[in-house]
Amino acid sequence: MNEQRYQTIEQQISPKPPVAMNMLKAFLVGGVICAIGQAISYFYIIFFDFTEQTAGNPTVATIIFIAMLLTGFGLYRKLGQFAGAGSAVPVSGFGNAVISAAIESRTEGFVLGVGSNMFKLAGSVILFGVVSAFFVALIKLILVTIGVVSW
Amino acid sequence: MRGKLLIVCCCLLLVGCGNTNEKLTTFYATYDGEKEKGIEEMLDKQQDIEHANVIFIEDKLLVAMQVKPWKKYKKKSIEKKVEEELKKEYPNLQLIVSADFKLHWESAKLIEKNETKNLSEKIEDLRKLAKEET
Repeated sequence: MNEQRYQTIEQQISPKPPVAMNMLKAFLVGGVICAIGQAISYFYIIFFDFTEQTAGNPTVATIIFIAMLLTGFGLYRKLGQFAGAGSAVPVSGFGNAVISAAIESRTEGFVLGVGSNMFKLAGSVILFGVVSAFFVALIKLILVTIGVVSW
Repeated sequence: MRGKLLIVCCCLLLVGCGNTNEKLTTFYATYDGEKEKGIEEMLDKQQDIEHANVIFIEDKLLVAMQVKPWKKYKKKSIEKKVEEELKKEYPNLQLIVSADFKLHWESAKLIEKNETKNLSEKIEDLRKLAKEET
C-alpha cells in the first residue's frame, strides 16, 4: 500500500470532526469564562480600592486560583474535553497547564518532581511572553525616542 | 426553546434600546452659574461620552466619564482631549478627568449622598486613586 492510498483510506474511515459544533462550544465556554473574569474584575473595582487599570492583576490571580481548584478536583479536564480551545485560551487554561503538571509529578518529590516539571508546559508561554514584551517595549522606546509616538 | 430564546433576545434588544438616561449627572457644592453652564455645554457636546458625573467644589472639578463601548480603546486620548478643553476654558481649576469605571462609580455614590462634608478630601482621595498604577 503506497502512501497516497493509505491517506485516502484513512480519510474515508476516520470520522469527520464536528468543526462548527466544536467552535460554538469553544466560543460559548470561552465567553462564559471571560464574563466570569469581568464579573470578578467589577467585584474588585466596586468593593475594593482598585481602578479598571489595576483590577487586572487580582482578577488574573483569582481566575488562576479557581482553575487550580477545578484542576485539583478533576473538573477542568471535563471542561476541557467539552470546550476544547474555549477552556485553554483564557488564563485559566494557563493555570491548568501549570497545576496539572505539578500534580502529575508530585510523586517524584517537591524539588526534582514538582519544581522541575511544573513549567514543562507553561514555561514556554512565560518565556515567549517575557521576551516578546521586552521587544515590544524596546520598539516603543525607540519610537518614542525618535518622536514618532508618545507614551 | 426557540420561542423562549426569541423572547429573551427581544427583551435584551428593548433594554438596550431603552436607554434614555441623561448624559450628565451634576453636583455643585460651590455654586457658580456661569461656570456650571459652560462645563455642562462643553461636556454635552462630546460625542464619545455616554455618561458623565460632574462634581464641583471650591476650585476642584471632578469629571468621571463613561465612554461609548466602541470608543473604549481610545479612553486615554478622550480623557486628554476633555481635560485640555476644560483647562483651556478654566485654567484656574484643579481638574480631575477620568474615564475609569471606579471613579464613575465612586462619584455617583458621592452625588447620591448629596453631602458637602469631607467632599473635598474624598475627591482628593479619588485623584490619588486615579493616578495609582500598581
